[in-house]
Amino acid sequence: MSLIVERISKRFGRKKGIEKVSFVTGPGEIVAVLGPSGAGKTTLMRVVSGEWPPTEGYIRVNGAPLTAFSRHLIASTGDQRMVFRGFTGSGYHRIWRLLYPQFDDALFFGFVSRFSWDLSRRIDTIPMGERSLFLTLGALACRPLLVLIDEPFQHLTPREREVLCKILRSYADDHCATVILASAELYEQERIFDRVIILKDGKLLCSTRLDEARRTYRLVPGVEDSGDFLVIGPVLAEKLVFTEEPVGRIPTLQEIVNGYLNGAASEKEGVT
Amino acid sequence: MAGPFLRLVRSYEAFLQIEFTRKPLLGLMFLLFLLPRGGLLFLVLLFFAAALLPRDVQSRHIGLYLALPFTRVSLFFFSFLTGIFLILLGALISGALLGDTSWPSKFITMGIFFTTSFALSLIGAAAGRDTLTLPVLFTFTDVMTGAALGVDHPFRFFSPFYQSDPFYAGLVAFLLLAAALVQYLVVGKRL
Repeated sequence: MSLIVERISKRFGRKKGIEKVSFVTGPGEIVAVLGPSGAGKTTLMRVVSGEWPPTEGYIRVNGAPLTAFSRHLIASTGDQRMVFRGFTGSGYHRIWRLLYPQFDDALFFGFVSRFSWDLSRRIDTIPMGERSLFLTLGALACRPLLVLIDEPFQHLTPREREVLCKILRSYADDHCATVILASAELYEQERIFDRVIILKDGKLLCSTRLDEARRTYRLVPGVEDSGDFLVIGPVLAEKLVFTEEPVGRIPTLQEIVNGYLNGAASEKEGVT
Repeated sequence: MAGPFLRLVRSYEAFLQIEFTRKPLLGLMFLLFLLPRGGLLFLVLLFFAAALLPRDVQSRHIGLYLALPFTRVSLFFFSFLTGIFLILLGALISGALLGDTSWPSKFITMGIFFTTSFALSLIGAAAGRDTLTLPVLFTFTDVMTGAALGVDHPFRFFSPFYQSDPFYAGLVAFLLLAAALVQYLVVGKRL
């Protein structure tokens, strides 16, 4: 599935949510949307899912505009893990089956037996970790081409995080689906991401494939003359630079993000 | 793959399942639709209208629906139609139980008042206020003004409470409903 997000903005009256954000994702990609609190990650997720219409710009899913009739191709899980009061696991299963014609019963019941879920229990009474996993994996059983999960690993144990990473990776690969995960902290799961999107103050700082980023970004000592390199921003005593020359060392995802965020902060303060 | 119409029907079925699970009081209110026409029935309708979409807009639970493949417009029509269907069913059952052959006129009376209350409640909720103040104030003003102006005054033709002429009263109700839809879509987008 391909997703094109072109110059989308979302304003709430005078308040800006996100501003002219553009990016493209390809089939089978797992995308990390990163940025500090208030960066616009949740707003971006809600606009891309079709929950909130953008104030300007457009979204295309597989080349076609996102409409009411293409929303069954998208499944999302919000950051609060809010659920309908009084609903049991079976209730959610019924609703998903009605709303997603392509709902995959085999996949769903596979998850049910793997995690020993009791479908007769009310979802609003189960522990947050279990609820989070139920909603996230339930969204996958809806067989969407685009999966959006806000704060995917919150409330999960390290073991559950590991399992979820594997499930997400195999879902994206098997169904050529795009999986977008948003959080302020996703660095532990760096290895599953294909693309990273960095946001700050509602603006897009960077959208790049991670393999490309590892090829074109380097961390060089801060005192070193930047020469012809494009300096993105400082990272502790080093500098994140954009270059294809094999200087310094290859940065981690966290260092790339910090470089961009620190660079944006320095720019805002007028520091060069 | 299901066609658009079948998808719409399934979507409505899902909406009904969610609505009746989350709001069991709707069933109790439905029983009160069997009451004869009068002030108490209007009071029930007022609370009933406020308990539908306006309550979800006010409490911001609408986001839970929008996270699923519902749209704002579909939620508006699903919610309004659910109210109208339940009122129709209530009027039909009370007609059958009480042998009342005037149930169609009871349905129209209830429908017009419900439409007005639903619209005003939604306008209030979408503006960030509560769901009851606006419809209660409107109805109170309507009742008092109609009483002060007298039985033959043309005001009562347009009044959603007195409904001396159901056509004009219905027109007022639908204009308010259209205004509520605009308010809900335009202002409600920010919620």
